[in-house]
Amino acid sequence: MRAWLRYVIWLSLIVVAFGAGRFLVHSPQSLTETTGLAAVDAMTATAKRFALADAALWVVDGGPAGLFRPDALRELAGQTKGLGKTRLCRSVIAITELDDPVSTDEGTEVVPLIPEIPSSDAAMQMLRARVLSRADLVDQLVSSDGQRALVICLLQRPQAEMTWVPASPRLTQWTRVDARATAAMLGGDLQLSAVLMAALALPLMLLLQMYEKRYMRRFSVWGALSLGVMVILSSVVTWRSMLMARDGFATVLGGRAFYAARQLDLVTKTSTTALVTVTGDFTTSSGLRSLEQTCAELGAHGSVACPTDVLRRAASALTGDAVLPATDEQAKQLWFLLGDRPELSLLFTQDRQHALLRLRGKFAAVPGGTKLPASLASLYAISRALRSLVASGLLLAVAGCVAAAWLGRRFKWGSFPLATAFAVTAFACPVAMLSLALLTLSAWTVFASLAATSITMKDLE
Amino acid sequence: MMPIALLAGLLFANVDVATVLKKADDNAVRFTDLKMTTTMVVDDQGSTKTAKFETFQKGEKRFVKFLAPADAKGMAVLIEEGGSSFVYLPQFQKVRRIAGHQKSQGLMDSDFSNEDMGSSRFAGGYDATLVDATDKVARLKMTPKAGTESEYESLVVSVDLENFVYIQIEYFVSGKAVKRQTRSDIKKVTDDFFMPSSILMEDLTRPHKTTLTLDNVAANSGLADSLFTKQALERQR
Repeated sequence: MRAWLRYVIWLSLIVVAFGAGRFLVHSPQSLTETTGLAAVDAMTATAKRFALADAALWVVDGGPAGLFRPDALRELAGQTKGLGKTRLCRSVIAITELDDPVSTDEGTEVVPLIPEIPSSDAAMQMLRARVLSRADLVDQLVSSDGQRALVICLLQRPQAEMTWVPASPRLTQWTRVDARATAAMLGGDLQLSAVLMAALALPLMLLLQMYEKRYMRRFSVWGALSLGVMVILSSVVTWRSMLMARDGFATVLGGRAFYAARQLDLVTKTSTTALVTVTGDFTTSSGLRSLEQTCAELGAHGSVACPTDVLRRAASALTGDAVLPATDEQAKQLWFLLGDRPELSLLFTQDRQHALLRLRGKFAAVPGGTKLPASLASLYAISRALRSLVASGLLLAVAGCVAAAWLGRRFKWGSFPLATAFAVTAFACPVAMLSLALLTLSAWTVFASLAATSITMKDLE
Repeated sequence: MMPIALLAGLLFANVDVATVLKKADDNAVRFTDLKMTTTMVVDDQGSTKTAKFETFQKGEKRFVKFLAPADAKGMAVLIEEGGSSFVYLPQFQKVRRIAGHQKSQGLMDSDFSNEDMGSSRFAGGYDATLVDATDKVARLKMTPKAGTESEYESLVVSVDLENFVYIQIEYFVSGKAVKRQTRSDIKKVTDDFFMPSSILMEDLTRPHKTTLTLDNVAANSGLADSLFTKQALERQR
């Protein structure tokens, strides 16, 4: 085979491997909404409806000593205030930004949840106890052990500064709470696999060339072509993942997005949380009671964070009684007073016709019929471990290839079975990685489908 | 820098900051009592919400009664001297004390925070320096004095030197203007009291603004002290 033709093939493969993912990154305007997986579409619709699609999330990790230390809290407060001052966020939701209405016999005092950073240990412990006693915040904005906090930035539109990433090493990279983050994660991993294959190609070519010379057969051409199929396949899946992802930047994050998703899970237990949309007229007293009834029914399947809790808290603050409005007029007045508080947009749509329930549990039989594997969290961990094994296998294959090439040259020996064994190992790794990624994708598809399960009042009647 | 500072000093030599501030502060409260009807329009990227309320004011005390929207009709708020607030919720038939901090979010997601609504005079809580001046308008930089709690790092207020009315306030955080209040359509309420008929508050960090239109403004009409009590709120029942 002519040398120039061989180099053109190799160059093309490397360009495909490196370039496939980058093309769309540089052309974000070419990203389109997914039309493929119905579950992802449904999840996207849910995310858009409840402002989740326009939220960037950060997890702040206070380390083993937890967040409730002066320096950690100061850093968290600094980051959230800093975010609030950027044009990135129209609103920032975090424990350092929230109010805490304290109801007394006479009335209500609205004070910041964290008015100032306590200087004494006793005051810090009191603050910790106060924050962790808020059932509506634990496992939502702060982990139950007080080690991590979630910061939600409701993004401005248009999202012109999406590539803004906080500099603090304590902050994980941002990701999104919807299935697109998963798609982005997979896209990143698959993109990485293409890069790994390209890295593998160079030593592989050396080895095949050695056998080509020894046996006078064109191994390198066949090797290149088989590798090419893998690279093209991987690139196509990467491209597909990027179409599903919200933007190229998220896709590029790849494994980081995966890490961020894990961090998010540590705060909010997202891997075992289903987001359930309930439809009804929540401007009426009966609508709110129906919603609460739905929460009670879903309570049989796990623990439920019910949106009506917010209204009960508001009623307690404004009237002294933590009860839902008794009449439609009371409900309307309460809604007027609550206004458009940003945290409400995560629970109710602006027209108050949809509410978002967070159901945490094993989901043996959620109304709607979709089932989620109870071992999703384990699958998550297993897939990560397997991925590490695959990566190690690839590295071993590369090392073996280089060693074989060196030994072959040094001692002028080699055998066809050895080369075959190596080639099988080398090609099996990407195949395993691809299969694993597709397996994880299907698991997440089930999750996304469950998460987007929409239950109307009619279904429950 | 020095020649520029000297030049500025010469140019603005006829503007006495303390006098301007005192006159503008005095004009802001040059009435025994005041009543008006306010229409508030909150504009969030073109989507608007409207509320209408009557305001009665005597000294630092205010009584606000909601006329619209229907969900809020009959709701009343009493703000006492010192900032204590009581709210009457007609649908719940209850009067409750509400105490909020400076940054508490305004009603209906309006761009006016508690601090913005409460600040009609500045001399007491701020140190003023002259930014620039023409023969019609002086711009003063207001920095909170030690002990003044404020969500802002500084304000730049523009004073109309003809009637001594605050016509614009810019709110700064970390050196950047985050909000701008523009008061326009200045009208003479009494012989020596001038008020804007329109107040626009723009959030400079997002496409969001709130407009207050003031109608039926009347000063010194002899409002009774009994209007500014909890009992008056309870009488709304």
